[in-house]
Amino acid sequence: MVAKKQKPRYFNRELSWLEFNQRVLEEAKAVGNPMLERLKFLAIVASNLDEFFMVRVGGLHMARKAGSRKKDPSGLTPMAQLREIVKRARAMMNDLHGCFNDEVSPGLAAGGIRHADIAALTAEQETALHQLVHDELFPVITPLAVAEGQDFPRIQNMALHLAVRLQGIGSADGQEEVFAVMSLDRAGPRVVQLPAESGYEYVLREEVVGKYAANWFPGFNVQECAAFRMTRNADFAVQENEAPDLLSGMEEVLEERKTGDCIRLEVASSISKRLLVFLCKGLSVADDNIYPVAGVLNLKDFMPMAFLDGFDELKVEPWPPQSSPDVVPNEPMFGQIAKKDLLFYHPYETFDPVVRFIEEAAVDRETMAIKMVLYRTSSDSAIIAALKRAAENGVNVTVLMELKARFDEARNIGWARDLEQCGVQVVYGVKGYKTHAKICLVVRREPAGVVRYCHFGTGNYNESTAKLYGDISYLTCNPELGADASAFFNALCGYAQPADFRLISMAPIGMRDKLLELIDFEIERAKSGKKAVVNAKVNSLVDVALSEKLHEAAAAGVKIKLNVRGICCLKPTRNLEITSIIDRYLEHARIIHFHHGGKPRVFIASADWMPRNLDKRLELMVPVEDQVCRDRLIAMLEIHLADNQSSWLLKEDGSYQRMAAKQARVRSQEVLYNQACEAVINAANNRRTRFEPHRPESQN
Amino acid sequence: MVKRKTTTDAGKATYKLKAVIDLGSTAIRMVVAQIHGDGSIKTLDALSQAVAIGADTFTRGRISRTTINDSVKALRSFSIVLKEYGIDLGADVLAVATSAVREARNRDEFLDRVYMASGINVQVIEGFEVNRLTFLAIRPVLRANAVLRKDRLLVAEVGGGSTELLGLDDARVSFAHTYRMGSFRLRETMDEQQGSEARRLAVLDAEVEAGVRQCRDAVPRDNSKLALLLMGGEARLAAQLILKGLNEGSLAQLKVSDLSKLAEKVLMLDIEQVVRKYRLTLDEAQAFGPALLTYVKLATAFGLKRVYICGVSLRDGLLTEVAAGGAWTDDFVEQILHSVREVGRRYNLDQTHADCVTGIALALFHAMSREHALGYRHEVILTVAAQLHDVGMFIGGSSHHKHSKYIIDNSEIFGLGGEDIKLASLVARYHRGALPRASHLDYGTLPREQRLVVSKLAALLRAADAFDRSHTQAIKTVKVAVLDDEVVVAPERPGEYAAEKRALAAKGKMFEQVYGRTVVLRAKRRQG
Repeated sequence: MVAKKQKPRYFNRELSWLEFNQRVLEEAKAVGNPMLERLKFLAIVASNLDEFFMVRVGGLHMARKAGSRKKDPSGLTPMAQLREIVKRARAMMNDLHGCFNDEVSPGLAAGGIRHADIAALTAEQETALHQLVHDELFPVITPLAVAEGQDFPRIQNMALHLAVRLQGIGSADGQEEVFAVMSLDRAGPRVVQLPAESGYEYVLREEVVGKYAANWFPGFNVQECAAFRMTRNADFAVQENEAPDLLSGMEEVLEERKTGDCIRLEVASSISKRLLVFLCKGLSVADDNIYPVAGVLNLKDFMPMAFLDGFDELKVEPWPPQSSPDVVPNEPMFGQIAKKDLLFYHPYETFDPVVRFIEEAAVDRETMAIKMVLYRTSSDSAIIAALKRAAENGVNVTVLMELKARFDEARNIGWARDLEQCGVQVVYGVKGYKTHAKICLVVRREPAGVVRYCHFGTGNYNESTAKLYGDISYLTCNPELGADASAFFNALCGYAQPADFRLISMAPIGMRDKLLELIDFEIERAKSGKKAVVNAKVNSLVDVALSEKLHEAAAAGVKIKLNVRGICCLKPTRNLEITSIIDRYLEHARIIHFHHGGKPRVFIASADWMPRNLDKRLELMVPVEDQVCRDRLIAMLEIHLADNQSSWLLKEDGSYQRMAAKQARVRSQEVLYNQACEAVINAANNRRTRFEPHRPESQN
Repeated sequence: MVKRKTTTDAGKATYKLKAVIDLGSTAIRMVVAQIHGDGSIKTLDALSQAVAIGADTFTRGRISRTTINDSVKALRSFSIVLKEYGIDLGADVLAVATSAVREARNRDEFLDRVYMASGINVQVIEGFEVNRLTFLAIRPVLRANAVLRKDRLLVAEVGGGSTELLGLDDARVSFAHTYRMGSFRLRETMDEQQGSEARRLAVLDAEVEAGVRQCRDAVPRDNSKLALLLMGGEARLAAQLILKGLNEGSLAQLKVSDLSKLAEKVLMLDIEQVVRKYRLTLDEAQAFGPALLTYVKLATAFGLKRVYICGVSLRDGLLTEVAAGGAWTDDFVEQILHSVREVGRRYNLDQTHADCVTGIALALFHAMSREHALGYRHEVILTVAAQLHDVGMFIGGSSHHKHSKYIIDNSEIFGLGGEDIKLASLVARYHRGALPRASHLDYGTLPREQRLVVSKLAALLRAADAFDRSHTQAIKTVKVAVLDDEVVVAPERPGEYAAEKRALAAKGKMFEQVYGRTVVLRAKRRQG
């Protein structure tokens, strides 16, 4: 029997990603959001698009150039994908800049943050700018003149430039024009604040340089200045890490094409035909890759403005991270973890206890070893400081520093050297894999035996992002998890071959199999007419094996609810509901809950359900067996799944629809924040007032 | 850098951290454990690194440079872990190597290199020690599972170079044998065979069959019900694959038919497929099939439908040994003596006479402890010699002491090492006949200290033998008094004991020579 050709059951991952970015853009467009919050979302969308072009669109360009016609699971060739993506991305960029020009910029002006007209400045403003040009811009900007037939100067990827059209003074109209390019990359902040009587007034760097361009070109008339920005294909190393799916088996072909072609040229839409032709010719840009932008380019640079001091009425009401009522401030963390497992949901709850855990371990004389994986740590990290202190105190500190964290390499190498100098044993990643697990192990000698304390998380050890990303932290001294943590580090450091873990699952060895096995269990239950449920929250779902299994489960009657923030290639079907939350905090936690015949199995994980996470990275999925923590995770997941304010429903055609509140309005991030606040208040009410007098040390 | 103390305040911690390392055929493995005051053991870390020692030794006879380097690398990385636990590489680590290192021609070079590079002193252990450690490892499993304590239990482990077989009756060790049939040797024989896969498998089959026949023949045949417990990584892996998991220290039961199917499947696959399918290293994959086949044939040879597998290994035995501080426990000695009695039974020994002489020899041993200054281990050796001193009677009466020596030398007595056996056999040999002389084979080549031990123990045994000259056990219990110039042995039961006195006059000379005192029998006279 010939199998009937089935319609693809998957969405294209690039289009799904664009849908995700569109949902972020919708937050920027949402009238109810304060203007600076909307600006922040615009900056995020712009930044996301940059990376998308560089890595994903770049990867597809490479694949197409290498002649690949391999179809993705949705049935599209690289060529067809590119066609669709470019169409969609172009519309999104128009939408993005339209939103800034027509809504956010005027809205900010109304709130006191004004984009001044460069041609209509006050005398004081003129003086200030003149000073700026003289002192800061003139010395660092070196224009490069380009004559016809000459080699075009190397244009830096993603950097803002000005293209200038000049004519010699005294030469007649129509005489040969000269072109020049000015890099604005190192010329200080993009947004230039002006003296103003009230509020905040600014112009942009390219406007300033444009206004005073004649200073750089004595003997010429400046006919025209136009800002432009070029996106190159990311280099092969980045592609290899970030887009292995597109590039597998094509390494040899790609090796020869290392230098990045221009895959996007953003230009001010006001640019003249002549200047545009000059640019396109010089940079070898195909017409398809030109993206004219009305108004301001590179909105990513507006991110700092979203955090301007003051202007509270333009911002969202602050939600300061709350302290967890489970943590007693003056008691050592070890004792508290020994009493019970601790679970935090950041940033509703503060990341401080995690930092404290490592800091206390660093100075504790019973600490034998500290081991952790670091990946994208914040610049003034208290954790790094604590690790250095620990090593100086003679604790055996092992840090697995993942250098392949994209675009962060240089910074990471600096820290790694620093740590090494303090006596920390630094392992620079694992060959062939990116280490993405979030784990810290403290081995401590206690009177009754050696005890291992573990922190497992879904987010990086980064105190800054811990204030912006929704992530889980789990602190425990469960001996089996401790033994697994030791085995994990033994494997990572090459001390031993990966062992069979007791409780945790590790990618690339057994995580996918474990998930498939757990889904299979639910399928069996459903088939015998019993309750079967899979609820999960991940950032992306691309993996075909897992998707197939989920489809099979849904068909068997397993009730599946997935909360997938970003890319989701899986089509919703009966029994399979997929939502996505875009709100103030970046949804980043991975929580998975299986009903398991009434004995719930709940996991937190560092991995998304993507082949790159499950096959190319070292990731962990950790069961939370402590009943209190487990039930709390189930409750948190249910709150997210019940969201009808910031949540979007994935439809069968791949588009998303904002959820509508049927009954009570649920905005999950707000609910979780309020819960965190209430918990603090309840704990304070329950705690009896007790004064602790200071005593001389001898009496303690 | 500040030097930190890695241990807690003295007296606070009630445990010690120790590590055991085992250099096997396919891997070097380490277990770090916490040993508590009550002897209980808690494993903290278990590490394993694939190293192809067996593949080198059993195919080329020596360990290659690459493998030596791999071993050094593995042990160096283990030593980092040990350092993290603050474990002393000298005092707190017991590292042993089994047949793969033992049989390598360049074993000394290997051991020196490993020691210099990693600071870990690896001891090579013999087959009998492996058996002893196996027994220590399975003891908790035996205690926890009544099913293994019934009738006869065979414990089998197919290693890279040899197969160890341990026999227990009612949970007591009856025999321990080591056979030169190992998975690497088998694989090598198979690979040497040219031709089709079927022919190679046939060669393997025949080879295993021959080895298993040897094992079967060594097991006494009677009507007792028999169970087979399989040890070793391959058996554990089989249980994991068939039962989808095997808990550490627990006991699993497998159908021989399932095991046979798995063996067949594994042997039909290419080595590369075995590596991929079962996530094994190349060496482990090579050993897997032959080991499984051996287990299946063993089970079949004994007519078994099911086998037991437990998740313990040599390392558990090593840890128990470390926990006991290397001393022989009473329980362990009981196993040695049980095995000794089995030897006696095989040679129709007059066990009552043996027991009687043993009792008196031990009474003398304890009484003379200040003079001979020997410890518990030597007491056990005296016991073994006393038990088996007449075992040579099986061959002939006239030189039976020499036959006894020969039989003891060639019996695998569970728990005793080559040196211990040699001492016991010499002590038994000198229970009569000529006194020890440097020209005597074996005795003459012993170091001076050992020769003294033989003389001290043989003098006691020779005197004790006189007290049951008639083999009637007229004297059963005695009291011994050590005086300035004589040792007075007083039987509890009054009597004349003329024959014993006569015998003692002759057999007590050696005692007098060694201890400088005359041993005399002074019994109360019978009343009336």
